[in-house]
Amino acid sequence: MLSFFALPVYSDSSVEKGRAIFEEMDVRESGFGDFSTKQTMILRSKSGQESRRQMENYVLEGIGSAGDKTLVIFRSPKRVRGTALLTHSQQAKDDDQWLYLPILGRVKRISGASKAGAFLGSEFSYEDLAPLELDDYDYRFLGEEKVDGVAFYKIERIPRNVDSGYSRQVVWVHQQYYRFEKVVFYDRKETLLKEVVFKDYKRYLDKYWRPHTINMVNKSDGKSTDLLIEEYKFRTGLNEESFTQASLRRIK
Amino acid sequence: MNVAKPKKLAFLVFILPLLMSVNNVQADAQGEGEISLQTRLFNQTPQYDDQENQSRSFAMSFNVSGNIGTSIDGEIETFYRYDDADWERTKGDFRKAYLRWINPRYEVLVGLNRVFWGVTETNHLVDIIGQSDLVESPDGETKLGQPMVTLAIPIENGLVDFYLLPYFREQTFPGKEGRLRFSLPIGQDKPLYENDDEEKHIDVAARITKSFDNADLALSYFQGTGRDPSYDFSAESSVILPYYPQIKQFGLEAQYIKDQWLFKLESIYRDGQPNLFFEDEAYQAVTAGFEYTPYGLAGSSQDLGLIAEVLYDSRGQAALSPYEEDIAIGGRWVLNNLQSAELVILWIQDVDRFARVFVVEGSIEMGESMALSFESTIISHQPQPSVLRPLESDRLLYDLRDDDSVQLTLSYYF
Repeated sequence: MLSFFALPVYSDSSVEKGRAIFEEMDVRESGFGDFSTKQTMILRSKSGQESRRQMENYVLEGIGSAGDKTLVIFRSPKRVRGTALLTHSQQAKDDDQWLYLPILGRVKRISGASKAGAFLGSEFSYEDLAPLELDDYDYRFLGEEKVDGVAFYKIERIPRNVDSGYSRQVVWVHQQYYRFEKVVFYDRKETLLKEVVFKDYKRYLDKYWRPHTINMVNKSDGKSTDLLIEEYKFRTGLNEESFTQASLRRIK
Repeated sequence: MNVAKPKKLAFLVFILPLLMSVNNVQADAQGEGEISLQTRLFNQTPQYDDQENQSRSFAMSFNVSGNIGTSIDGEIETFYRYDDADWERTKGDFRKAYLRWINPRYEVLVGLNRVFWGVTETNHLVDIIGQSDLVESPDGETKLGQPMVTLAIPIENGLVDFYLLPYFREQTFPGKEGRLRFSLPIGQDKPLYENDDEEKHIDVAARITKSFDNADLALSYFQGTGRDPSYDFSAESSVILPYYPQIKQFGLEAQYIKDQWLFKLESIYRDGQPNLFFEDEAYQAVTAGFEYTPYGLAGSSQDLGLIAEVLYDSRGQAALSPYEEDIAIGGRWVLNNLQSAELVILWIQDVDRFARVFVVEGSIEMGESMALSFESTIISHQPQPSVLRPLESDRLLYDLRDDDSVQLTLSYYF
């Protein structure tokens, strides 16, 4: 094990080491194929008022340099049920996104530059929920940290896309399992904006770690959002055809 | 004709459960619905006798959808509204009742369905498959269930759709007691058709859509009974009879994305539709504009989206649409709060006449199953048509000049 060290300047080795840890995460993540989950978002105001959103999430792994494809279908509030968001994520550029509005039967292209926008009024922004693409960030290894006897790598990552709502993020990565533990977000004015913690991890297919609770807290206004995720279902037979504009018309 | 093709519908309604009961095939079905109470207030004195200042109505819709195995799915959606002021608004409809065979190489759909074509926000030029349910929503965004047989074939990053439309449905209009109508009521019971097959004329349509890196394109063609009626205002009659011609229409839809900008274009060329003066005139119409969505208003989590569109119709004064040379600007303000509150404001201004229309729409969620929405339309500056100043008035909007309205709807979803 390496001992804790902090580097005051960006050295080549810290950049390489930071990226190497995410490359390792990427390698460990590869090969999952596809998965789907049901999720509940609980939005809390500063005064403790709550509001719930329910959705289904489908993810197809991108092969080679192709990005992942995701489909989110909203189930509640019931007024927007059946509304769906299709994302074809792209390496190091804006994602392609379409919104399906069931009442009109309309598929509407939306700007993939909306990364910083709040997702359904929650403390998650679109970019927080987007699939991880290695080339979306520059990295810098900050050091190691032990919390309750568990060792973490601490890495800073800087979004390459100017549309990102963040100047930088600090990520705690579990040293043994290479999974996210915590991320701290700094806004464009360099103030601490949000903190997210990943909990209740389970391992699927003996390989892929997935969290079942994600708590996002906005440090600037005291609002928070909990994302509760039901059992993940892996390799359910999703394919490219499940993530086309035509497939949006089949959503019930 | 308020409910389409009862015999064929019954076939679809009963055959779906029958098919689902077939052994060895896994079938699921799910149901949901909406009940709403609505009141519409008109603050100006009505122009015509019998019209009222307030209407109260309730509406309900049910949707049952299901699938048989992985290759067949189906959906039935019914709608009913009771309106205490306008009997033409009291009606039921099957908006959907179809079965669809799904296969990786093609899809076939048979039954009633709704189809939307188009990219722009302020009007929908290209959209032509279904008939507008105008009494339900004057903006034309609610459609009657359209009987169809469709074949959809996926292509790389796109789709080709073919439509066979064996039955035509007339546009709905407000009745004599209803607001938002012409000076003479529409004779809805005796529409005129150009073709002798009347509503049984078989219409055909096709559309190809394709997505490119930052752009989407669609080309479409329709041939058959025009969904928009023409009117012979010169005919001596106490009612206006809608006339449905045989038309040909080519449509183009294009979108281009650049960062937070979304540029949009819709254009049609239509032949066979008599104009406002009931003269045959082929025409082009274009709606083009942009949507700009800079997220995070003044550093908050609120979003403000802006839209601007220009609307053009080559028939000018003879256009059947009030938007023959207009500019529309508007905004959507999304508060991103627990109640999902949002507000939309739209201003459509005629370029060379005074006519303008304002629309304000808002909605909030009340828990997971209820929502409250309001919609207000203000039709202002409508000078009387005059021989001396023919350019200053819009004939189509003039009759609606005293029909400003506020509509409140409380909906419960289950």
